[in-house]
Amino acid sequence: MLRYGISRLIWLFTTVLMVSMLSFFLSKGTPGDKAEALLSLQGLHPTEGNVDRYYQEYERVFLAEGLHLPWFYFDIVPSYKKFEFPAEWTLQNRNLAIFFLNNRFHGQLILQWIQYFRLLDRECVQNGNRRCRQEMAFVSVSKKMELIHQRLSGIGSQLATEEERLIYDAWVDVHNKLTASKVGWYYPIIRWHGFDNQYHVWITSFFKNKMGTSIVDGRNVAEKIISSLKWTMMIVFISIILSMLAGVPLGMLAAAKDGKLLDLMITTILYALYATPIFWLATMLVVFFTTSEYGSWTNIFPAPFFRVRSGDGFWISFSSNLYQIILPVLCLFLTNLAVIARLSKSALITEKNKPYVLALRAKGLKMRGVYWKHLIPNAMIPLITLVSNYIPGALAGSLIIEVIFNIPGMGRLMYDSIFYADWDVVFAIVLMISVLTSMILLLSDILYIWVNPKISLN
Amino acid sequence: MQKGLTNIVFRIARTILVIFVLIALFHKFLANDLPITGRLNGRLVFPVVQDYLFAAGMIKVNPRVNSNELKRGIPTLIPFNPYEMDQKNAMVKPGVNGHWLGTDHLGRDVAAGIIYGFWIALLVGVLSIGIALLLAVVIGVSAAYFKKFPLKMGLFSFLWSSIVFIVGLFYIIFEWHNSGFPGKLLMVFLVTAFWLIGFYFTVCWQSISFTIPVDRLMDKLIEVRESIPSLFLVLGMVALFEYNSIWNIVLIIGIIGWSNLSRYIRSEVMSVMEENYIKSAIISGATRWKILIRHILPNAMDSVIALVAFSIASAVLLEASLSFLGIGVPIEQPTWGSLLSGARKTNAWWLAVFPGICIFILVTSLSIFADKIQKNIDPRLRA
Repeated sequence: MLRYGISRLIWLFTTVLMVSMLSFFLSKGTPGDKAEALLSLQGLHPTEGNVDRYYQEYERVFLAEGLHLPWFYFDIVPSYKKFEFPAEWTLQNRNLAIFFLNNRFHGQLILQWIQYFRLLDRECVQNGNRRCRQEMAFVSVSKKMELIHQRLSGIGSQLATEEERLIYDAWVDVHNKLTASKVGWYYPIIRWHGFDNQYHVWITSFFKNKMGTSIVDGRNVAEKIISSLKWTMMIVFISIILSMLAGVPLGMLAAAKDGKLLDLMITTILYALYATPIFWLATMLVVFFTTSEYGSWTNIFPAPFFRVRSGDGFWISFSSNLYQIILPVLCLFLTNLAVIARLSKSALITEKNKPYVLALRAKGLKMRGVYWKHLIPNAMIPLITLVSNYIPGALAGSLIIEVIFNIPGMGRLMYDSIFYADWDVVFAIVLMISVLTSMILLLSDILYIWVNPKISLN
Repeated sequence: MQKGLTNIVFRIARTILVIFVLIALFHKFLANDLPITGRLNGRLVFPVVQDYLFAAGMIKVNPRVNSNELKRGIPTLIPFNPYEMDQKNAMVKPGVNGHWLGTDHLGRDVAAGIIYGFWIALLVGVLSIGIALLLAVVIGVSAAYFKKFPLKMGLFSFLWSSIVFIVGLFYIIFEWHNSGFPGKLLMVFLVTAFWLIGFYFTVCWQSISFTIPVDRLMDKLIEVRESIPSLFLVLGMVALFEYNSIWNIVLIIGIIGWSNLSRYIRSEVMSVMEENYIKSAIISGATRWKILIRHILPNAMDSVIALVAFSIASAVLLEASLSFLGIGVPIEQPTWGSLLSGARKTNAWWLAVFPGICIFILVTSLSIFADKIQKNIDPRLRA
């Protein structure tokens, strides 16, 4: 048993590792400049104020967030890209350099090109030359070489001072050299970065309870997630326990009365509940049963108005929102009920069709005795796995419910973070949810073996 | 008595599904601001057909451009376009001003939106599950097949194929921008060809061979996928796309939706491989490839249709959840989910009831259909 548990733990560990890589690389694929977002949280924008200070601050934040580090332990790059980008470069600079690299221009010239670009940019800001800056912004978003040529020559007519002209001429010179220089033959090189990489920093911060900074309020991501996790856990577990208490007996009753009128009624209702998407159920309940617009009796539930005062502890805000919890829990309860009752019905029917039932009947045992002593205990065993397999689905349901009823849980946090493009939070939640899910599945597996001595561990 | 009843229910479900597909295919004929026939400068034209061609990109001119000069012939059933906003008729109740099912807060006709929602549901359900099924077959079959027939590789061919794979992928990635379509095709072809040579060596020299645990790897893949709830994964992946489009949703649901299918296919292939006819095929000297294609695949796949129906239902539900949340699906695109989310903002009952009923009926019919098929296939349940 212990050996089995340990081997399963190792298996779980590899799964979590792979999920963490997946969510890390997904987060790297998202658009947006994190350093810029964090700076704008402090009130610093690239278009206003002292541009030198902005560049300094940018570099500081960039280094502090570890964005200058390579992504992974190793990477495979073409032989013409052996250098790292300087830390003070903005994301736009980097994207432009990557574009040039993809066009296979010479690396050293690309570095010079971007340096001149930054110099001219700074000069234009200091001189208040807005039109020149605008043109330069167009250059950095052009995704075609011809467009960059065009816009580069367009900048020439927007220059104001002699210094700008000097920098511009040098820049054009480098540009001409750059376009003439094409790297011909190249080969892959594997670079080893050691533990000093973004993934390693991210994944070890998972254990240090700090998973980056949220760009919405500058708070610690782990802190944000854990405070919202309480709400999700609360409503999911309340609803799952309630629906198990109601659903298992209901499903078993339907299975015992298989083919009778009662079974038909229960099954039809469960079918209807099963096919009702949770967001529809919630919308219907909110639209029809929270107002007295459709008759005085329809005003059953309080209108969804969930509020958490800042500074309140979890239990205080939970108890002050107790009325508000009723409707979301009811929605989750009904949806879970349909699944759990159907699962328990099919579990009992599978048991019922096994030949040992016939043997027990032939021995003279009454059907009631067969149910209570043999069928129901046996049917409970597969039910453990089935119900725990369903928990990820319940988490997804709670995401929608939290969004509808404005509960500050994990789903709501994820939803809001997507709209704010706060990717650190989003992918930390994805990792968190998957760790949670795999742990629940592992526990259910161990429980399954524990209650079922027939399973051999090999 | 019950058997007759389930038969009737099954037939109703099947009919509903056929009607759904028909409505989805002919959605522009049912709800359109253009008439089905009309006369333009004395010439008979079919504006709805032109609208279909315009949407498919086969003609360049939008038929709405000269709709003022059009003499209208046979009108469509619902003479509104779901994209068309009409501020004067915003939040109109059902049955007022010719809006059968009312309008939303922007004055878009709900009935037309629901009709177009059928098309989106069909697109998402069929295309994404098509992609998912393709992935599921590859993953599920290799997870089961290589358990019985392990993939043995010589040291040389292992090194060969891994180096060719990495280097080939490297050049494909870095040359992709710089080459046209024939160049891309040639690259992929060359890399695959060189890669397959490695497997050919496997057949020839088996002196120092070891087993590659493809089955374990595929099991791991399935487990990793299943440890992230679909909705969370979809929300994470939507972020990767710069623009919202229904095609992205189709692709994402396709890439994500294979796990249930592949687990089912895996267990089916495993049970088929235990059958005696596979053993006799091996004894009679059939090649592994032939056993896989001729015997295992057809026998394992014949019962997958029930799960496909279930998967279509869950794909439609996933898309509806996404558009209900307003993530990934373009705002102007009318879908059942986005119409429903209008009810959340406005508390209008007609926005809550009608799209929800459509989702409900579709999901119910699909599950009844799937249940019946499953019962027909599984002899234990038939009794």
